[in-house]
Amino acid sequence: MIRAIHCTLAAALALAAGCADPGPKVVPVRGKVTYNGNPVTSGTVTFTPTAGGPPATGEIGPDGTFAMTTFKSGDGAVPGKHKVFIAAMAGPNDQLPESRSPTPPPTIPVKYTHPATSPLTADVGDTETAVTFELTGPLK
Amino acid sequence: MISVFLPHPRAARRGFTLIELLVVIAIIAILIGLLLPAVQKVREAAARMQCANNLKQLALAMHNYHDANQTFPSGGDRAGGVRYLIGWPAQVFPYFEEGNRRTTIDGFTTNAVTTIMPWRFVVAPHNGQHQVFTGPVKTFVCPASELGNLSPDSNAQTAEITAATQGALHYRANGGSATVELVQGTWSRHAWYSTSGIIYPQSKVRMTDITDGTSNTLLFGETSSAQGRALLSRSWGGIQPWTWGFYNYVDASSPANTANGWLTIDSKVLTYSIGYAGTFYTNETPYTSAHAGGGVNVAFADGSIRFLPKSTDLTVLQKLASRAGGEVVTLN
Repeated sequence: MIRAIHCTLAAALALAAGCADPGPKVVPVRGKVTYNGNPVTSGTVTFTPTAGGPPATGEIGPDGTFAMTTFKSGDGAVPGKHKVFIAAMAGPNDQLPESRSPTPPPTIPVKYTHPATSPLTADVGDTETAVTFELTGPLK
Repeated sequence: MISVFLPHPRAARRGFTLIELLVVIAIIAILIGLLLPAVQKVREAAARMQCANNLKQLALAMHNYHDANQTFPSGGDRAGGVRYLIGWPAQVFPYFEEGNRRTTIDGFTTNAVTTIMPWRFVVAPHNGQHQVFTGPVKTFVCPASELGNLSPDSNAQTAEITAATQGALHYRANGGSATVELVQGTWSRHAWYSTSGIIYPQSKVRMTDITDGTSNTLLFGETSSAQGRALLSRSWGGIQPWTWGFYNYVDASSPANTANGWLTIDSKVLTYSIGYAGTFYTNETPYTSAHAGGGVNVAFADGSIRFLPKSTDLTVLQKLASRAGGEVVTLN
């Protein structure tokens, strides 16, 4: 009975929300980025599903950790294989590119910063997934 | 005697009670409350349509330019020490009823549109503070944008940039896909660009070069919102005014040093998803908007306009950005 009420309520809410398409399933993805063993303190991680689907992004925090977002903050990424690249440049996280120098220097090797050159991939499972990106090599 | 049967004149004017008044006011308030969001929605829809209409005008201007010149405008070239040049906007002014603006600029000096730097200098012949640069260009402005019709571009790091406010440019030309024909400029990661778009450094793209099909290739995208950031309208990767098109590293080389790479300001490489709010590089400013839901208007090379939702597949977007990638694209 209570279940029925819940269902009715949920249906009513969905109606109220304009019967929004729930979209593809996403699972929470958390992770960490390090460069030569030290956490990367700012930047943005982008996941692109290789099989197609909505991309996900995650802001890197001061401790190098990030949580991916596809539709709502922190909801994760669609399951499956992803190509990954990371945009990161000098300047603290709360300082946006606009308030840094006109062309801020890199903080990670540039090959990781571009979708065409980044070797990084991630496998997002059907349940909450943790990933670690250990970046190495010269900056340029 | 008669007056006994007549009611008292004051008693005849029975007014509203306080409760009745409050009920009426409450009902009116509820009705207004219902009406306001609807009005707001209509205003938003109108702004989005105006925004799309501007794109249509620009796409038609591009087509007319192509008819006259057998090529789309170039993403820029340079000779000698000239930098911070104007890009495609000045080339297409005559094709969307802004011919007088072009004539005014032409009057500043010989070959003005390919030699002056109004973004950087106030002195003649650059005339950075001339009304032709500081006045808004209506067709370049998306009315839904929270940034207004001018683009403050002062940058604390480079004090000599003097033009505090010049006309905004909320539409960037398609500089290509990040994953096709990438040129890794050696100067810095910010100087990486692509030659797979319609307008890119030293480009001379003709309609027949768009082998993916003009209805499958982007011509313009909307970059009209700072998405809550205070400063996206500033600095080199931000939403610059139309007065600066491109930049080639390093200063003194002649002809242009392509290996060093370029900054593409009025054309953008498609690297990030729509509404991307993270860190980005100068040539890859993401498509953004203030429309409900965060989708953006785009123009295709055939002149058609579409509204792409925020969740659009990034690989699909990049396929739409390349003109001859040979990809098959399905857009919902």
